Amino acid sequence: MSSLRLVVQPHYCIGCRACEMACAFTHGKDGQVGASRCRTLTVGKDEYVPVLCLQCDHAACVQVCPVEAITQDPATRIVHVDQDRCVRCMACTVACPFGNMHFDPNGNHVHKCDLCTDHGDYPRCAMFCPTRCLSVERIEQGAP
Amino acid sequence: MEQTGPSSFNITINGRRVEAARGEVVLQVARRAGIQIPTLCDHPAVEAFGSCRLCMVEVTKEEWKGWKGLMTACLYPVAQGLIIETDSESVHHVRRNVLDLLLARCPDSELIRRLAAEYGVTRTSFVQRENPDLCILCGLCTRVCETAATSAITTTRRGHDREVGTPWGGPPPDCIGCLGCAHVCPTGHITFEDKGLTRTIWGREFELQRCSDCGKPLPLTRDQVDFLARRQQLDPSYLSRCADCQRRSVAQTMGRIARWHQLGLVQEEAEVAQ
Amino acid sequence: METVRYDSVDDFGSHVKRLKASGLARRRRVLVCCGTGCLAGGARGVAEAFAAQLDRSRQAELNLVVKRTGCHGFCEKGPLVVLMPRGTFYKGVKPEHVSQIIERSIVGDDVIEELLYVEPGSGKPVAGYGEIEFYARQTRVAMRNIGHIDPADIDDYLLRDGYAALAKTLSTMTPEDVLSTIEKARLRGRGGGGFDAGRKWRSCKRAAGEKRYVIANGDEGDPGAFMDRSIMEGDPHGVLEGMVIGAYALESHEGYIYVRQEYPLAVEHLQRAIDDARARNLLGDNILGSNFSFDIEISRGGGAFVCGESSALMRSVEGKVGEPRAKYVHATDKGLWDQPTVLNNVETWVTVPRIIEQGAEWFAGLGTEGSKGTKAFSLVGKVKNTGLVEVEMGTTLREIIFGPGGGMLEEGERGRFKAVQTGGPSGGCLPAAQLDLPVDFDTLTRAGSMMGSGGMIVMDHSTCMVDVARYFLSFLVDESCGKCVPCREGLFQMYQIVSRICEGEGTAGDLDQIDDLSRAILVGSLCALGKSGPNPVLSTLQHFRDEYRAHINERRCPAGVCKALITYRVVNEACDGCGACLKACASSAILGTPKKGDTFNIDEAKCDRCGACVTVCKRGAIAVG
Repeated sequence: MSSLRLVVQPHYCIGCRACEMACAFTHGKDGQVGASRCRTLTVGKDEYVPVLCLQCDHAACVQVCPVEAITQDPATRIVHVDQDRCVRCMACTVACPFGNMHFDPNGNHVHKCDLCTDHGDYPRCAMFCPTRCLSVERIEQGAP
Repeated sequence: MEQTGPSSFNITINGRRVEAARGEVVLQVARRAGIQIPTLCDHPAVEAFGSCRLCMVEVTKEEWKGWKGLMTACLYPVAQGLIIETDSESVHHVRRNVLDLLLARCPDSELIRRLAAEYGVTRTSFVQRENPDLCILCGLCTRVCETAATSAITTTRRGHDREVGTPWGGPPPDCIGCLGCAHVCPTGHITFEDKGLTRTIWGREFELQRCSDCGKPLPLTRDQVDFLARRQQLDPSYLSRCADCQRRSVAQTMGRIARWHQLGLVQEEAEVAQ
Repeated sequence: METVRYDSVDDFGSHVKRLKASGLARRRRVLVCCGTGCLAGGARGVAEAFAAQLDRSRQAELNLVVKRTGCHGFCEKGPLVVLMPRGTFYKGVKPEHVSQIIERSIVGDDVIEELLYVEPGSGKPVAGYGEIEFYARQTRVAMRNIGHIDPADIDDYLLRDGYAALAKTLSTMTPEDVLSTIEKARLRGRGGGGFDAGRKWRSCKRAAGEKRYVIANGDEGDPGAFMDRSIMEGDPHGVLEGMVIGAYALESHEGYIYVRQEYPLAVEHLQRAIDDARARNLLGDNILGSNFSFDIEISRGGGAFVCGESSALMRSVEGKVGEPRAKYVHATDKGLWDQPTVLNNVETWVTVPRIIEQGAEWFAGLGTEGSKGTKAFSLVGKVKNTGLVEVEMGTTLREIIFGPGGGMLEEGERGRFKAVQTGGPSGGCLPAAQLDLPVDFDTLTRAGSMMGSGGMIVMDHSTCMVDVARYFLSFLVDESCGKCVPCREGLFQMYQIVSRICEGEGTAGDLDQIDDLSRAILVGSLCALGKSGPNPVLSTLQHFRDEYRAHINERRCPAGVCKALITYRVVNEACDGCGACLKACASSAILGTPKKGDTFNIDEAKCDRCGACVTVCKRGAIAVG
């Protein structure tokens, strides 16, 4: 069984923020900015970095959640938030060392990139990235 | 309770055969099959309580020879051969009465009004509570506090005087201001305020943790940070910066790596990567 | 009492033999009842007088022992003193009578007429214990020792074959033998649920778990019930012995006795019994050298009726708030601390040694087809002889109330039998037409009430049945744990409706609303407190519907009880103008000048229906209606 890996190569990023828009339109109603799980930051002149969840193997968010609402799927390695279980304590939004857990006040939930698991499994950001910055790799189970 | 037998089997809900596994309860099986059963005191973060009685379903088995029992779906364990009706007359009768009674208790609750209307109750047939608040005594707040925090609040007194309370009625000394209770409360009875660096809830004021980089308040209180670090065994440094600063910091690092990559200095990634 | 420790069953056997052969065992016995009821009546003074006037050497001289016993059950007539072996039964004993008793009935051979119990039927004084109807009509199995032994003296218990059943169990029976004996005896739990004890024990035995627990329910919360209190106070070793035997069958090593907060004497006596049993190796490690170990701890309640419910009780023992949980998973699978647990009532446990000793066939030979054995009842209310009555299952209500009960208390129209309330707040009221129903687990339930734990309240025509329903509802509203909506809110609302009816503000739709709401509470509540909560209302509605109708449609209380619906008025023809009523009235509601030939009147608006005027009027000139 194969699963996906999103590969981020920031040196290709041109700062167009198509990834943010694609993500926002996929996960939100009418594409509000707060719905995007990807945030592209400007770090210098013509230097941009898209920051999104790295699906850590020893994730701080998984560790910190006091109700165990965040888990990593052992097969796909994707870290998921169980929205029904979450009590909105916001610990994960602070614990993530990369700032990849976001709180959406409109939907009243925390969200993070889950590689578009509920939307056909092909990350939209990669689909719309005009350069090779965001791309998808298929990996076999068990591969590092 | 069935302790022997197959580990997964079929049960019948509203005439449909659905798959169930030993150890599961009717509510989770029904939800998985897309069958709606109303609940008030149920929440995945805490153990089932069975206090609201709204998720009542009619249960029978062939060998019960027509005898039907009403059980709460949130607690009733599935077993082979179970036949369940989620919307029979007797089920609706109980639900209607429960909601009618709750409407007498909390006439101002939007949630209760909406649910009661679904079962044909627009005005309570009973004596309305004097000076009603929005607490339906579902126990979610106290259970979340017990599971995810410090058991700072609990139910006190009993019977009709039962209420969610704190030690000796004062501001709860063990509260960490995590807002778990306020967020799980189905009626919005528990209120709080975040203003500047202060969070107020349950009559207590908490200092919000400040981001060590930008100084803006984090959505966590200092007590909450201490608690989480201890209980979740996470170094407190994980809880010292806001998401924006964390993001900016990692973006800068990644940007540096990208620059070096562009300059053909790939092998130095290993040295500076965090 | 000796310090002795039994290292084997033989040790135990030979000590008991010696005890029975000893001089002490063959002495005459002066039994002073020191159960809670008699203590309240001044029994402590009587016991102290005996102790002062009959010291050890005097006792030896007179060849007797003075014993403070538990409750004889004839609580109406206390303080009680019984002289054995003659059986002379003295009632209403005061400290000043003691010297007389010693002189005339102990040293001498006489009976003191004025202290004898007078049988209400014949009007004749009865000299002997065995001739008193109250006792003669009883079959005491669970209560067989109470009143005969000093509960603080383990040797007294041994003299009545105490722990013989345990010795028999440990030396000749396997755990399976015990289990099948209880199953064959068809013992059903005495706490109210009537679940087959053998079946319960069997399913606990089959359940998977690290350890098993055994619990005795001594919470006894039903108002008016005190059978378990007498058993715990008066025969604590009986309870312990039953539990050890049960634990042996279940291979359990830890047991608890949960005693309600309001029974301090029971706690004291049980703890003393536990300490003494431990000292003698009848409890604890390696009991009687058998390799079986079992120990018991007392757990005290905090004053909550709901903690008599088994799952709430277990939460309470665990140190948590006593709230029931859904019982879809039985306690025999996951009970105390989620381990397989057997919880039985105190009366059930005290019956177990009897069954082991005398056999399952003996027990199954008592009672009816569906309900074996005997049952202890606390008979209270408007009967002549209130107290504890133990009879074979299947004895009719009439036989109990008019037999040991001695019949109705008051004379005349108002004193006639009206109803008997059985089963406490979970039960219901049965009218005269049902008096010939046999009392057992199933018959009363079919008639709309239930036997319950054995409370039996007799009511006459001075009782308003709607008021009775209101009383039980107010009790349940007070005692509900409040966890589930149907009980917490539903019973509260039912109480509002019935209260309104008692206040003359009932409306046409009330009875239908009670019906509808009752159905929801019956099926919707989490535990038996809620589920059976509507029973008192439903049974009074079933059998006394006319009374409800009178309250609602005519604003009239036929029994003259509901304050809002009665008026007090002066019957001027009978009034002699003495003015006693005026003095007694705390509300200044009576108008008239004493001894001036005035016509006295009662101001309805000020009168609060306290009844003081009725009590003081020597001419019966105040009418209530």
